[in-house]
Amino acid sequence: MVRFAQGRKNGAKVVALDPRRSETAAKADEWLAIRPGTDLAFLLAMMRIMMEEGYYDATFLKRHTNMPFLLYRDEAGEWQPLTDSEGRPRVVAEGTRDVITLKKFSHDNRENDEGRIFCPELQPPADLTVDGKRVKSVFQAQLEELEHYTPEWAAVSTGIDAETIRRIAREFGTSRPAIIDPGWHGARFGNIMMLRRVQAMIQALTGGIDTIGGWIQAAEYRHKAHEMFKAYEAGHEIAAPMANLAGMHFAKMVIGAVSNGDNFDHGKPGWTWAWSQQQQAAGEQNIALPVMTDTGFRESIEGKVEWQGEPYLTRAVIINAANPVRHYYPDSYWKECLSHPNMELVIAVDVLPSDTAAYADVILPNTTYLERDEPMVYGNGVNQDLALTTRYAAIPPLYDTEETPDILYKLTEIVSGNTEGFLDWIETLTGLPKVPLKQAWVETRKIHEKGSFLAASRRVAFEGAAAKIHRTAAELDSVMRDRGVYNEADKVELINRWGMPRKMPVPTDSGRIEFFSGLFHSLRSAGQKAPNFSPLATYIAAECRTGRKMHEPLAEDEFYFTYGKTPTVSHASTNSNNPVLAAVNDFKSDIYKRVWIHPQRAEALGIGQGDRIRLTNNLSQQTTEGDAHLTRLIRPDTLFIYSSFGVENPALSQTQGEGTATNKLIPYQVEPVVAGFKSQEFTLRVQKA
Amino acid sequence: MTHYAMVIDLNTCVGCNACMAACAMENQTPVWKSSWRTYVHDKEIGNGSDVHRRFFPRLCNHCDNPPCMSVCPTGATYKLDNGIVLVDEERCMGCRACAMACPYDARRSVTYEDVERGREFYGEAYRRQHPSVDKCTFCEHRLKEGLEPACVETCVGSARMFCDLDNPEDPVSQLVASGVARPLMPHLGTRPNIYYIDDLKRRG
Amino acid sequence: MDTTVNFYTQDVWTWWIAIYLYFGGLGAATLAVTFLTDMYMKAHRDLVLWGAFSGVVLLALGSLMLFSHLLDHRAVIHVLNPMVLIYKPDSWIAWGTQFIIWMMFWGVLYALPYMYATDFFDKVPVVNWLLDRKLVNRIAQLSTRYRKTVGWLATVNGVGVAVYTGLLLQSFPAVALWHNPGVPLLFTVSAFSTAMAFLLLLMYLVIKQPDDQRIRNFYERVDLILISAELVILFSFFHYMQAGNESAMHSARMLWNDMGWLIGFIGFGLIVPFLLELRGVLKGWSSHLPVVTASVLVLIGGYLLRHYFMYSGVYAYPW
Repeated sequence: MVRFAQGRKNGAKVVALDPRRSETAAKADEWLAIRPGTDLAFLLAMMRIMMEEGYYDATFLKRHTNMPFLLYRDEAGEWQPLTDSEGRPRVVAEGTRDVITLKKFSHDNRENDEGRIFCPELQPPADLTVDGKRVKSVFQAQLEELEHYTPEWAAVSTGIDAETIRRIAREFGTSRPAIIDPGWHGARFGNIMMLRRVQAMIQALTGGIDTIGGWIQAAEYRHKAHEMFKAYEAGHEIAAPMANLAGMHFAKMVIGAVSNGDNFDHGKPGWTWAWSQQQQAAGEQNIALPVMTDTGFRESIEGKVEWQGEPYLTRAVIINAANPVRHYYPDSYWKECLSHPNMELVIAVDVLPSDTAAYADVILPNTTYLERDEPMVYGNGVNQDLALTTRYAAIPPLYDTEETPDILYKLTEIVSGNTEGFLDWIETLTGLPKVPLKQAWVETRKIHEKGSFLAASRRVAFEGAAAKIHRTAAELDSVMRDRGVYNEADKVELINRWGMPRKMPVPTDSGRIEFFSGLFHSLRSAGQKAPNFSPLATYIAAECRTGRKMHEPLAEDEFYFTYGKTPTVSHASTNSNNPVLAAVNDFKSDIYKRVWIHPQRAEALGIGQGDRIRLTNNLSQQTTEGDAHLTRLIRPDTLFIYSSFGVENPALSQTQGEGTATNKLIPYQVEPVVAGFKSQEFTLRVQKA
Repeated sequence: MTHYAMVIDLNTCVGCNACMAACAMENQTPVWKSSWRTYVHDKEIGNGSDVHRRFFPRLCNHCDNPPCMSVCPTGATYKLDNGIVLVDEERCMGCRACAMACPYDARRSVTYEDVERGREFYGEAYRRQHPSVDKCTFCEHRLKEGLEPACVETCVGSARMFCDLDNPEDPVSQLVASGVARPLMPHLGTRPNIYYIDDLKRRG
Repeated sequence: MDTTVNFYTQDVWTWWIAIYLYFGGLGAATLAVTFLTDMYMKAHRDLVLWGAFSGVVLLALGSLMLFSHLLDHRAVIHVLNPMVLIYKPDSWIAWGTQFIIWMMFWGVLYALPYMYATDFFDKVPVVNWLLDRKLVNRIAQLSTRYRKTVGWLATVNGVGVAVYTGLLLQSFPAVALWHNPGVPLLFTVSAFSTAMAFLLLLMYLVIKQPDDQRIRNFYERVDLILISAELVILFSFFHYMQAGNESAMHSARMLWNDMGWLIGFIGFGLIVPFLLELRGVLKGWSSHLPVVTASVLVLIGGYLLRHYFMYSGVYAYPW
């Protein structure tokens, strides 16, 4: 936000695509009130104009992306990479018909396999054939894919006229630096994955990856990638891969870990994977990469999930610092799951009596972040400067609470007794070495009545982090205590030395920025044929009404739906019971707690300012109530709700009963790649309550 | 001499209300009745489909000619040499003439009940002893320690900028001198010290 | 920057301030008029006693309104201290409070000799005891000796109170309805007009001395002049508020679209009593009833004026 503001002060032009005047759109020079779910059409049209009219950084694309890589169509009409027998990519040298084989993993296409320096061609001759196959570069294939996505085409669904789309594409394409802010949330519409990919592609077209004013890699991420590449080069195993891998390498490791039953004592993969495979076998829709999702959860409780012919039952759940009843869709899904007769034990570890805690058999009260020293030393998250940080308790614990690491250790002791295995896992996942940890714990037990395991972790983490930077733990502690962070290197230096991909590979399969996605190509090859799995950018229409296009007229009482966060909730957390923030919300309750509706539509329905209204989902028939906030800061065809309200647990005295809960309107509906919620892919009807 | 003033850049206020929360905690204001020393309004401006959303922070303007001070019958409202207008809570009898006189709606009542509630809410750290008609102090207690006002320090959009108008080299005071930052209702003769940079530009 | 002005009326000072201003003006003007009558028209024990004590009681009631709404009652000591005029000479509440205190003080002092001249106070406990004190008797003698000085001190403070009620509102610069020189004038004229009405009621219904007809006629004539002056001032206000200032224009829109103001105050509070009294002055009435009615209406109108003034002050906020 500070950087955004500084950019504004420096004269950056901001264009916001949003169906409503969000806080961000309020700061934009231009607000384009796009129809919900159609951002992808706008961006594809933009991408097409940029590629066709040359608004891209050609040198960057040639050297550091897979845009010049050659593709061919197989018999099924699918794009396949043209590789040599060892799977190495091939390109055409600029201005020639010479096909050159590149290194399999590299960040620079200017150097071929044998160290020869040349320049790859983005647009090789149209009639070029290699090994009897007609070939095209990724650039050409992508442009071909975009052929129909003209501004005029995008204007129809987005509701933004073609001239504006053309102008924005040109302004963006000819401004340097230019940056796309991808927005928030891994949910909303079935095309969300593709949308995020196209946003990244447009950013990459400008060459604005790891440049000042562009997308700068988080320093921690860059550092991990750097260390990882170094280890690979030296042929070392990566210790504690969960803590030390980056990018696709990390994703593949996680997928491998949870999808493989051998990693668990019970011999079964995660139930999401079991369910996904079961669905695939039955020919039903299945999720390709069901990581961190609740798909199959209900079925695993109901006994519908099987593994190798045996029922695969979920009978107990530990919910740690999460509030799925509030944050997942719909609220009834988790309520039913947690109160199902087969669910024998629900344990909630939380700092507040959340809506989920109300469904727990056991609540283990945890400290808030203000009350504890964190168990680890961390990298500085998304920050661009490389630094170490941790938290120091601001106040002693107010209540009778225990720390999460200690809770988890004790639970292990009770449930399986396999505490050695637990410590092994800690070492694998976090890199905290088991032996010193146990030694430290002997000491900390003498000092701390509670949280002694956490204290031991912290002690070992400090030793480890300090050793890496050649300081003592005491020195590291004094600097962090004083300044909050221990700075190692600033972003300019990092970009200059390890800029990705200009100085170092990015952690993709190929080391390049990938327009033709290796991951999606492999999923597609494994049988996922939906357009969501296209390796190239393509269009996936949102379908809010079955069989109808987004631009077709809505019924008089029918609306698209959007939601967003209140600034006050981002300050803390969604289930916050903070009286000061609650008071701010009260001050703006008409804006924050009501349902935004355009006055022109409201009047037609006889709805006045502040009127009680009933909202019903036309797809699922879920229904709830709210108060109307008549505002022209929203498209006439769309309703908006701040998703921060609707708390039900009366113990949350500051927020309970306020506003409208989005999860009373959003059904269980997921997209096929990672089970992202299609949380806006429907319409609502509205009437006076 | 020092002459404190604040410049608020409406172009970068993102309406997050962090200033309201920071001020409330720093100055122990009666949040239980949604009473604040500083507010951020969220307004809709414009016609037809050309609608602008404006966040408008406001607070005591620390006028050089403060009407709240001249009407105050007990002398509870006074002005420091550095321009800050303060209220002596012990001297204030709470007639609220200041609230009537203030063109900027910057005065808020703190009652006996609020004082009691405050002791409960803020605990031992609660500083107030008496009711009064409360107002922003520019965080005078922080300025003395070389810190900025709480609302300025916490402002994520760097919309709130604090300055000394008597320092010609202060970049923020130069914004004021340049005329790009302008006060509210100067025609009332209050000589206010809060300046705003407009966010409404000619479009189209 | 003022492109987005919003208009608000305040809810800080409401009906209780209207009562404070009303009782203040009415009480002070009543006291002043009776003392002037006593000094220059006809020595009149009953009128002075009624005037002085009505004034004191009304001001006490009005001040109680303000006092009871204070946030910190103990701190009121700072305005009761006469030194307040040295360190806060710019505050009209400071002046007003001192006017009220000294008006009461000199008022009671002026009435003191008359208290000895009636049996009534012998029957009032505490007061009769006080009157028996030598010191009090001595003070009464002094008051008699410096009759005019005491009377004028009370009168000047009384007029001060009446003018102050307008100056107080005038000192709030954000509201055009209040912040103009017409307000002290209007409130002063209204204060004296209501005082005349109050005294006419007293003289017709309570004191009822037949040889007071000259005074009653005089009060009726003065009241007629005051009401017409008030109408002229309001007419000027109406035109002042039509242009030049958004705050004033919004107040105008509120007032001149309100039947309570138009018919209640201007109609029944001013025009009807004006006509009734005009006819009385020109041709006379055969009964007291029309003048009594006019007086009651003027008294109600006096409150309405202040009530509407408090509720129609408009702040123009540029946010």
